[in-house]
Amino acid sequence: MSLAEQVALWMSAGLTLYAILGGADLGGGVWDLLSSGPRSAEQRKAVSHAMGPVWEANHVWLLFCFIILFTAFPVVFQTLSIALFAPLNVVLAAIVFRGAAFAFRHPLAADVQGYRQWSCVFGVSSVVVLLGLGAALGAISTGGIRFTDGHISAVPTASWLSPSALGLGLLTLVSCSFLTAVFMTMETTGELRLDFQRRAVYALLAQALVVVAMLPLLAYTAPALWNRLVAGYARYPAFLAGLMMVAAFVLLQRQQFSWARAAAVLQNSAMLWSILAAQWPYLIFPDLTLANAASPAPTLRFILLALPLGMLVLVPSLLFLFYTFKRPALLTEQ
Amino acid sequence: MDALLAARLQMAFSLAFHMIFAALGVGMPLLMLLAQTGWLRKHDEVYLILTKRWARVVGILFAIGAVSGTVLSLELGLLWPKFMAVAGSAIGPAFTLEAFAFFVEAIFLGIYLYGWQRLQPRVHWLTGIPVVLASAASSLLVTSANAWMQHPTGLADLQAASSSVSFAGMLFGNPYWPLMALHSTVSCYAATAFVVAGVYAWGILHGKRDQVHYTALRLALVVGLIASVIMPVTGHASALVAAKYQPAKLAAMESLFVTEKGASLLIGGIPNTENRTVRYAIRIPWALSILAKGDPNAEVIGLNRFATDVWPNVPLTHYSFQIMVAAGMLMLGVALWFWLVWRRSGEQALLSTALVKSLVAATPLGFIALETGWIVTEVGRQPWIIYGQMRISQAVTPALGVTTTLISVIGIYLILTVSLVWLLRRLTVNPVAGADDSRSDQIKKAI
Repeated sequence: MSLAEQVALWMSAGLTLYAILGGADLGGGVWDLLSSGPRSAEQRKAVSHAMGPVWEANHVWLLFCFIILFTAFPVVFQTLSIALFAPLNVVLAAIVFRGAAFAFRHPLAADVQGYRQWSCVFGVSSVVVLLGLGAALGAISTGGIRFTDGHISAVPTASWLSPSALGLGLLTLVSCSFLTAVFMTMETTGELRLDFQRRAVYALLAQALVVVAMLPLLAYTAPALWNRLVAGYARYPAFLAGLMMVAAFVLLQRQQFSWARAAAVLQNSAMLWSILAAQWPYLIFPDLTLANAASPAPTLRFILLALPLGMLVLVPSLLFLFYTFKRPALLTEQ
Repeated sequence: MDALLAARLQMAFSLAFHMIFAALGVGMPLLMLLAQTGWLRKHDEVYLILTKRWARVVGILFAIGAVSGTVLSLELGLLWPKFMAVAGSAIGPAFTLEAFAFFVEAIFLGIYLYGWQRLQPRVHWLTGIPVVLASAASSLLVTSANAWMQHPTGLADLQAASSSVSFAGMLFGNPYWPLMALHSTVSCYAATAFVVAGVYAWGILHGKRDQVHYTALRLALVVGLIASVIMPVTGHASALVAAKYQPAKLAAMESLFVTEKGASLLIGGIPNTENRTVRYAIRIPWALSILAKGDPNAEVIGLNRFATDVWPNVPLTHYSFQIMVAAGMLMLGVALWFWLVWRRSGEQALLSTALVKSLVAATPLGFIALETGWIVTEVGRQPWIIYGQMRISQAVTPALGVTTTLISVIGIYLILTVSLVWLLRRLTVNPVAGADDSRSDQIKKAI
């Protein structure tokens, strides 16, 4: 396996972790926004409580992926920066508002002036980040960005605002919301838990609807991606994702929340993997590949040395973080 | 507005904003941990109150530092895509290492801030140590990327994928890095210390003469004194490096238009780039030659050796440098004054209104020095984005709408600043409504 391919595997792992951990955090914003019913305040509190200690660390995964990208594939970073100038700026603004809003409202009591406003900012900006990142991914994989003779251009019919890119944005939004709702069933008890169980089921149904709508859309507007999704290696994770969707639905109905969480994690990861597998070996379809966009070998070798060494520090620290705050014994105290 | 100007302004504004939170993010955890150390050793509640108050501030500041840092790392590409295409392979490794340090900081800060009830007091204190160390490590590591932009070693070798390329050598063997890393990291402690000292001095001035204020002031000024003693030493050494590798920058800092033997050091003064003179400056004969080369008769290269199209902005570099040095000297003076009086008369020292007022006046000095210092470094590097290799005009994005993003960034950061000030006032004026109070009561009971 080439050096560039090895780096790409690390980056895929980073993206998967961001999709799960960061995605669940972003989904927290969605449920904060959609909190309703007699336990609306409790729902918000539970989401805040679950995110509090972990949200900063969860978001470093995005930075981690961007840094690997501009170190190992600088031309791709350059191309994305120019072609996706508008959506990336919007996502950045939303990331700033989201982080600030969550931090600002934290020391305020829920009934204080300011809490409600910051909560709204937190929720709306979470939605924007999810839609924006999903649409950007859509533009990348449907061939919306071209790099020819050093010249970078966007294809108007397949831009981040095209139906299929926006469809992917919507899919990202509902998938992460689903994941968060399932996670929340493990962070709550009693009535509150049933609230999140219901939300998880609705989100799963919404996700199924979006997937069904996306299939003909992709087949029609992005045939290249479609062919790679259904014919190549990508069909295995895609099949796994479908299977896990059904499994998660059944497990949620039977209130086996711990297993439902595993199924949801696997389902979301598998969806991402199917897109990544359909991309391989392209970084930006159809012009930039792992081979033609990679940094010189010394840089790649440095990363491939630094990443495992860094993980020696990072993994135990992360395990300590999750061990401290996500122990089952402590969760039942709430 | 011209896209290049808009992009430069946006970068400058984003960096200046991030720097405030990054510096506090390096400095505040140290003060927080020092206070907690005091609590664990002396069991004096004053220290616990300070620890908790500062921890809450750290939580908010860190979030703003983290998001504004994310903005910067993407802005490198959004504003200067061509620069990243060339420099990504060279400075990316520095960012990769910094990312790990930042990750560790984020993880342990989460554990520290939310772990009061879940961890034994000593274990909890221990989780603060990685926060302090990792925040300093982030600062030390990320400056290597900037050091490389000032003195880009090894680029040709790297592009040829030569096997002799060593990132340890390129990034950390760079003569710019050790001093720049040390100087800018210590400046974070100085800036934080004087802000904290100033806030509590303000309280004392307004009648809050209690142990919380006295202790906070003392802790801040221990850090403030040590940092402000180190600053001139590392600063002087950094100027020597600039003299050697970036003579145009040094000449701009000193407004030295003509190459001179036995050059004078200028204090203050208004440079005029048209007729290449400086008016109203105090001149100290031979001092610049002595400081830059260690010899009163040494030749110091002036701007006349360079074509004007590679001059940095002379007045801006000059004024920034003068302000930075003045702020540094004032900080050192105030810190020394405080400790001299304190040694003699202890808490009585704070009855001196002149001293307390000076501490209040010194509040922004650290940040003034920090920001002007970075202006010297960055504006002094102009017109290059990679010194001697790529001009900023070659690196700027062709994308439309940079003026819009500039205005948005300024607007968003203004909103955040106003909200933050409102929130911090709320938290300090009537500390802690509801949830947090009961939590700290529980901790007191638990201990």
